[in-house]
Amino acid sequence: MLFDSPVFFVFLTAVVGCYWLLNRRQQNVMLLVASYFFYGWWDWRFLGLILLSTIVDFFCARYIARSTNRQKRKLLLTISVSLNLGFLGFFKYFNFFADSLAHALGAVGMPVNIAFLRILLPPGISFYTFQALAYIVDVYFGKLEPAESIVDYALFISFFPHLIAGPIQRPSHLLPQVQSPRRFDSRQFFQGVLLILSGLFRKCVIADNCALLANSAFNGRMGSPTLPVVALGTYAFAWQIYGDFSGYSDIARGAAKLMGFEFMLNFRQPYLATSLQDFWRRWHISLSTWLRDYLYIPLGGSRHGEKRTYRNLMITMLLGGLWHGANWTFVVWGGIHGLGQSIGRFLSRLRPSASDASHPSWLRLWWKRIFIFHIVCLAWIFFRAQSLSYAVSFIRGLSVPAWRPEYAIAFKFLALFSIPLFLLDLLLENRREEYLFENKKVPLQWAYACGLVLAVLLFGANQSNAFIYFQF
Amino acid sequence: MSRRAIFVLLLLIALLLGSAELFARLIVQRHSKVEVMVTREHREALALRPAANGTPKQLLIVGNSFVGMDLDLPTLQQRLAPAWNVHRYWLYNTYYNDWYYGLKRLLAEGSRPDAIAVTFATTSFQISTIRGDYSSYYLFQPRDLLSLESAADLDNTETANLLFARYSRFYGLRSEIRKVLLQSVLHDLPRMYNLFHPPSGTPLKGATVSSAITPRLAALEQLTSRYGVRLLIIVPPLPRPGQEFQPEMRQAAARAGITVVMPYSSHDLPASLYIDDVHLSPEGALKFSETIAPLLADALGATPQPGVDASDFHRDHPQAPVVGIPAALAVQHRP
Repeated sequence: MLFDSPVFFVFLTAVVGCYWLLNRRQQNVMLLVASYFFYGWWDWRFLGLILLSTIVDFFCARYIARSTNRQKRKLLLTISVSLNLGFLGFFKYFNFFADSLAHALGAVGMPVNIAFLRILLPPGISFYTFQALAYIVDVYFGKLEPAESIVDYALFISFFPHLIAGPIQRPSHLLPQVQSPRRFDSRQFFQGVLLILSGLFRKCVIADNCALLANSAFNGRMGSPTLPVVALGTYAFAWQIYGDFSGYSDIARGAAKLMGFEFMLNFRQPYLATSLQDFWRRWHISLSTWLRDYLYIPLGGSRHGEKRTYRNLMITMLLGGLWHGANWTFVVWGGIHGLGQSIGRFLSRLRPSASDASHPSWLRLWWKRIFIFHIVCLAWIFFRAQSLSYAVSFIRGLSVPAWRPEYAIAFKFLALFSIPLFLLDLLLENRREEYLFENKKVPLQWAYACGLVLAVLLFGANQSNAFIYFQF
Repeated sequence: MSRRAIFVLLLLIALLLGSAELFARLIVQRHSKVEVMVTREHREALALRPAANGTPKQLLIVGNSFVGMDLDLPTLQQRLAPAWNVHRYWLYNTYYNDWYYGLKRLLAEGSRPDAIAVTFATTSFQISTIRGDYSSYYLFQPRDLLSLESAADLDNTETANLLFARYSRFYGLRSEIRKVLLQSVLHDLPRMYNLFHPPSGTPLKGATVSSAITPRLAALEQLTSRYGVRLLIIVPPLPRPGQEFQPEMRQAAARAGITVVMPYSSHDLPASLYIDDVHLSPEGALKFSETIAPLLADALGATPQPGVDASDFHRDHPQAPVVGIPAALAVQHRP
């Protein structure tokens, strides 16, 4: 059930309509059933997987909290973590590692025949696995009381707005909301509707239109890569993935608000970042903070000298890349970000005064923004390409100048659908709003909502593009 | 923030959605040339009934853009008269599943031509894809959607979208409306589509085509014979050697007991008779129609008439659309 499909809004309307008629306990049961229905809509066979993981994690966490025996606590933690990572590893990475192993053995003169399995990737497995891991780890370290009710815990894991593609919710943030009564708040509900409309605009108008160019360039439908094709494809994909994922996050956050829940912010104008560190404070914030708290800091963070810090950064970003998909392209994507952050950190330590300037000149600010945007775009090529070799040959196209008049039209088309999001981000950055006119008078917000609806109705592309992050 | 603010917001959204539906039904459907043509052809196809003694029989030609561009209807009408009246009903970008379920609906709703000629390239019978939301409004019955889901390998959301598009004219038409609006903003937008080559998939093998189309032709034959309607297949030429699969089509049609009219292969017509890499030019359509007219007459048991100037037809039928579509659309819309 895609968030931009009519059936989702029929489902959401029915759920929200019933929801506010029930008490907290009934609400949670109803939301859990609705969430499993939502998940089973994709493929009911995967329900068993999420149920098994939920039950095991719930009981492991309870026994960890009750037990004072260190060995037993560690064993329970290991069982829970192994189960979650085992599911993720098997369903997402089995063929990837098997293939990589076969290649590696072949390269050293030991060819092997590995049977690949036809494995379907359960939707959202990367997201709910990370939520479950955060829960069990927090309980183990005593940062969180385990859930008393399995319904509450199951709802925390499978609440449908975040189930398939996040934002990855921290147990300390969402679980207390699940466990306490929600009150209908008109302002929150209003904001929820506006966020959903804003998300639909980002997805249907920006992302799906940019996808036309990005898909054509990366699938070879524009011919062999040349400078204009690479530029069109890369810029288009940059705006596609941003519109797509931030749109999804807005709809998820908006849907949660309709039911009195607050999800963490996932995007904050990432293409206005002035460094890669800054980019990761603005892009997929729920993942970057998860990686920081559960991987980078446990690895030692920046506490053990510069070299260890660079190593930790690289490990975090490489694994963060691999989290996105079972392909070396994602690892390289993560590597570029890790390397970029390390270099940025190194340079900022060389010239601390330059990087500390809190009010850089206009020219310097925009130079940094444009530079970082292009580094991010370079990395997107690896993210989008089907293989490493394709990414390299695509980048080589930069050295092939060629021009056809049709390219100019394609650039105009791209500008038509990317500049609005860019301008929107500039306004949001300056006004510190989540959606435009958030802090203005209600009639202006009504007018804005109508504008968004009209834009979605009239310019929304109809390409049946599933949200990109659904595949992760 | 009061509850009234939420109520007004939701009301405004509902009003806009309602207005979009009214816009599609009252403005687009009545003023878009393509929609006017499709609606009229749909209505005419639905009204077809078996011929009474002494009156002309009814031949309905259905399919995708090959019907609109590769067939010259006035020529066919002239050549098959007076024994047969020729009607057509076609939609861009449609394929086997669109028309299997489209014919199912048409026949279930009472349409009874004496014969139906499905006009596709062989590969259009082979692929499972459907046009999508647009064809749902004209071609699908809600009760067939679950069967279509497995036939076209759709997911639940896509199937639900089809159900929605079956009843909402705006939802089915929205991509067409977007194209027109975009073209009003970027006038030369259709030229951008010249950049896009068709996706290069793995070349089809004859055996694959044969195994896919044999049961499909049999299913079409079964469907039409259930209603006592004769089925024919017209296969237009393609300027792409190796894409025609003529032996496979002949074999599959023979197995299903269907007459197939397939007079040309890729090298029989000069490149000048094609308007793009798929369709015939108006001259090519005229030549193709003149060639297939006697073959159709033979298959249908009609005495072929000598050639008559097609302009006579347009004089007698001023409302009849001229075959052909703007070049821009021809590029955007593959069959």
